[in-house]
Amino acid sequence: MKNKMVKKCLSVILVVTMIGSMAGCGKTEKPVTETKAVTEVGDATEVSTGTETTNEDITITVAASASWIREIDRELADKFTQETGIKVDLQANPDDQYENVLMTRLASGEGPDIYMGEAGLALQRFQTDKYALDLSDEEWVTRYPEWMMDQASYNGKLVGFTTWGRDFRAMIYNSAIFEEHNIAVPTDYKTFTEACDALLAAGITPVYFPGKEEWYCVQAFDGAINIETKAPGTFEKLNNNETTFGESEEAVKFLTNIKDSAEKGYFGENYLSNTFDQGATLMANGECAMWFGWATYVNDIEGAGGPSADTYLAFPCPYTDDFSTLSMTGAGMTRMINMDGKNIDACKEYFDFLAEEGNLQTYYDGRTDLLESTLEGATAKAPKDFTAVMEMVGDKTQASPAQAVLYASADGSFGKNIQSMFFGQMTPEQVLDSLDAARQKIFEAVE
Amino acid sequence: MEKREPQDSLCEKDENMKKKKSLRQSMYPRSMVFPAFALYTVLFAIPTIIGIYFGFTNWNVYSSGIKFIGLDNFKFIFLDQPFKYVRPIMNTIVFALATSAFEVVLGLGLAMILNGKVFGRNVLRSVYFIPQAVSTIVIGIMFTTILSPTGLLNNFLDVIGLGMLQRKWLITLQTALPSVIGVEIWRYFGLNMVIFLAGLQGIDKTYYEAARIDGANKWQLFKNIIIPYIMPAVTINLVLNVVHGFRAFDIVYSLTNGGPGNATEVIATMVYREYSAGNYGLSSAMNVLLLIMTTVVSYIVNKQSSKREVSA
Amino acid sequence: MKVKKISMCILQIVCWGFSIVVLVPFVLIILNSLKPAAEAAFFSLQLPKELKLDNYVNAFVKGNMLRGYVNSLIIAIVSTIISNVTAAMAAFILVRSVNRLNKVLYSYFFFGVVATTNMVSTMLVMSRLHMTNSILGATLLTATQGISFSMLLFTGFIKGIPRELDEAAAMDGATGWKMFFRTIFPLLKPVTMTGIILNFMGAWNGFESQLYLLTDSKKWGVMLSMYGVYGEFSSPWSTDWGLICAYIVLTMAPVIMIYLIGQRYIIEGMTSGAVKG
Repeated sequence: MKNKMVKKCLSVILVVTMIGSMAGCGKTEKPVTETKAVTEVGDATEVSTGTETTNEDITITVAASASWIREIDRELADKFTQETGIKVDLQANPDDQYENVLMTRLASGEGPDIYMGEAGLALQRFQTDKYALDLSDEEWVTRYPEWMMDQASYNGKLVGFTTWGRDFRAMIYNSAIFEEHNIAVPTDYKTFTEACDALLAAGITPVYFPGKEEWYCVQAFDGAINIETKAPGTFEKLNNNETTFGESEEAVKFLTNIKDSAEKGYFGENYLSNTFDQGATLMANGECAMWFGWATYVNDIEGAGGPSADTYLAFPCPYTDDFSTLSMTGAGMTRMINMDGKNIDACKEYFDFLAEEGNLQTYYDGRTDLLESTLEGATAKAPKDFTAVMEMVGDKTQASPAQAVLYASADGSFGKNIQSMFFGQMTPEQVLDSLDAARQKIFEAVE
Repeated sequence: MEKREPQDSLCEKDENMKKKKSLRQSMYPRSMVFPAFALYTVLFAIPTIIGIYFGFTNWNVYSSGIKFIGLDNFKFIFLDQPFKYVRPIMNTIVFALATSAFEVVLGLGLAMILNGKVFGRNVLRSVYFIPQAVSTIVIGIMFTTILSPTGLLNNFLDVIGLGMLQRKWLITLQTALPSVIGVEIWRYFGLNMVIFLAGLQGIDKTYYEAARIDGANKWQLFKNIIIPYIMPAVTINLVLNVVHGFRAFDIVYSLTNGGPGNATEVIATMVYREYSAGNYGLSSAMNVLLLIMTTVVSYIVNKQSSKREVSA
Repeated sequence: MKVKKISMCILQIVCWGFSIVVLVPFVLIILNSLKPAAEAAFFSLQLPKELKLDNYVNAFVKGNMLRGYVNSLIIAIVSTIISNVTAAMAAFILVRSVNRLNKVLYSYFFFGVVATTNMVSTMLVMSRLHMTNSILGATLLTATQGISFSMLLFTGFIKGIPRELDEAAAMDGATGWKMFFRTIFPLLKPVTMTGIILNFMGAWNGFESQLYLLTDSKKWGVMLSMYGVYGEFSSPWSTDWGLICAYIVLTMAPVIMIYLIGQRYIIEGMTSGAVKG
């Protein structure tokens, strides 16, 4: 009886498989990969026995979040294919799904050859130990400036090829408007509020704040470097689980200040329904005078019909009440090579190609949103707001909490909590408490 | 009179039963259940069980080891961070109950109307069911624009002179959850109606006549004839509605993504949120919660309604 | 008499009023799909000032529509066949042959109607079975998701088929599989049609399993491809809603057509299955 059932079961599965394979197959570009159990780690050289002899047959897959792939990347990829015959498949994933999809793929052995990810501490989320190839011996590593070495490494292993430089988190302001209304550039939170009051009196919304965007609310917290600058050593303590965000007076002060600004009407009436898209237009036509975020946004404003990008300068995040230091993000997106991939050599060739000075310069020429070159041998076009604010702080920078603090992104509801705080549904302390609890859980898990 | 040996007749009966049994088994071989069983077990039951197990672990994206931690996840949800997780649970319950109730009422109401002499009944029936044919991504896009501050709903209210009812539906604290509930009702009332209509049409007309002869008025007709006979349909609809309501993800995600703030977070969106933050164990724990809720409620609703059912 | 007529009128108006509420969103999308981007951003019910039929052409070309259609069709059709056939067979046995084990199996299968899927563990199982990123995997997964509901339909209907037919067929020498497929299955046509249409609609519209399972965007069905395209068609400060709406119309069209053609089956089948089951 049992045999009969097994037989019938197998026959059905066989039929289904036949139908399915006829339907689903066409050109399977990827060779059949063996699924590795989650604990195994493949040796790079052994795995690439599948590399074909002619370059024409090789396609390296590059996975990234859709908004990270730009026109210039495609151009350079095409040029690479022309020169070497190796094809590059740039796979764009929906932004909010990218990480999930990538981690699932890596875990099941179906990972891409190259994958992009956020540099710095965030590398941790990609389980770099397990999946990323050690690139310390590559030529271009010697051309990394000091601050890049940290950003591209994880746990002592250098894994990232990065061309995106750092970016700042500062308050960009329309210097023309400020001049027109005789408003002095703020030097602390109090003078910031005075400037805002003056703008309000002139009928201008001081700050454009896309409150509807969850990610923007998370990003707003990037400005909270006062946690470290006003209490040095706090970040390290946070990383060693010796203190919590809730215990940091500076953290509470930051959130209280931003809430205060919102309540004073500095973000406008409808800031909680503002979306990101509308910002450029409203900045362009002068309805709003300031915007907090990254440096090259000024190009977007110009593109939306606004005054030239140089009109916009910047000062450090006002809610910190500390204008002495500039908050910096990590070195943007880095590219890592999948240890378990089949085309390691081709990938390395691709990186070498991109690192070539000529190509590098082409890249930075095409990426007007990047501030600095991460590799010696090329220069990026930094907008004036970057140079202006760097001058203001005397080149003094501090990596933002998101960059410098372990598990800073452990709280999936962080952005929403900040929104709730604006709505009056949560207090700053509660927002920080939620973050602390989430981080605590990870600390416990990792022990 | 011949007396038969009791054993003989028993033997014969046994024989007959055995024959019947083997005939039955060859007529209805259990092997035919196998393909469905195999597929269902491997691709559904096993993942569900594994998923339940993960709910009791601390699996997350930062550590490669997985540790069993018993009820810690659940303690975290209910005791440690109640305002973060209990709110979504409350929202889920409110959402499910509200949508379920309205869908049943609306569905039954329309079904009763259509059961009478209404022009174009079949057309109407088809129309009401169309929302079921559309993907939730599309519904999200449709209604995000309709409910936007400058969208169709506000324009319409203005045109018919109810301008003061205009709201920023999806981004105001008080109206966000009701708006999402409204969209869900739009989506499912047709399904309810269709099932109710069939149920109504199954009620023997003679009952009505008999009751009318006895002098019953409309309300009594409703209470004593329709309600008892429509109970099976009510049960089914309630169960399906509540299950859909508890599981609602796409609709909430595409309309409000849990906002404004945390006002429209439901369990399913929290499951996804924790998953995206890399807290896989916690995510699974919330899934387990959902599982328990749907099972318990379905069971209760089923039991309650079958008490009042009348077999026709 | 007059009162009755008036109340009938009112009821008619109410009914038709509701149908408008149901249809308005669809009309909106269709109208919008014909408008150029600037007009489309308003999402109004006004007729398009200029007809932009290019939207459809662009959606088709830029949106990789053909590939999406093919993938969706394969997944939808094959999974539908699988879930219907397997569910019909299983339902038949469980309805006819009532004993302890079968009762347990019955509840076991029905659990799927109520229970939620855990994507994380499902993906884990799929990867162990080497079925990730395969159309086969997506098909089987979609089929599984349709089994519980299909069984609901079939059990209700089969209860209405008299046993005598089985026995008649058995007497002619056919048993089990043969009897089922030769004699009973043809009788199930109405509910099979319902099952096919509903499962097809569900498979076509469903995207969650594809999102996690199919990492190669070339294997995506038409719904998911829209997801990807949605991001591509919008830039930081302007979104071409006309184009997106055209894409939406193209993805909805097949399902709506099938629905309109087969709605008789859907409604009849669902109600007979649901009410009796």
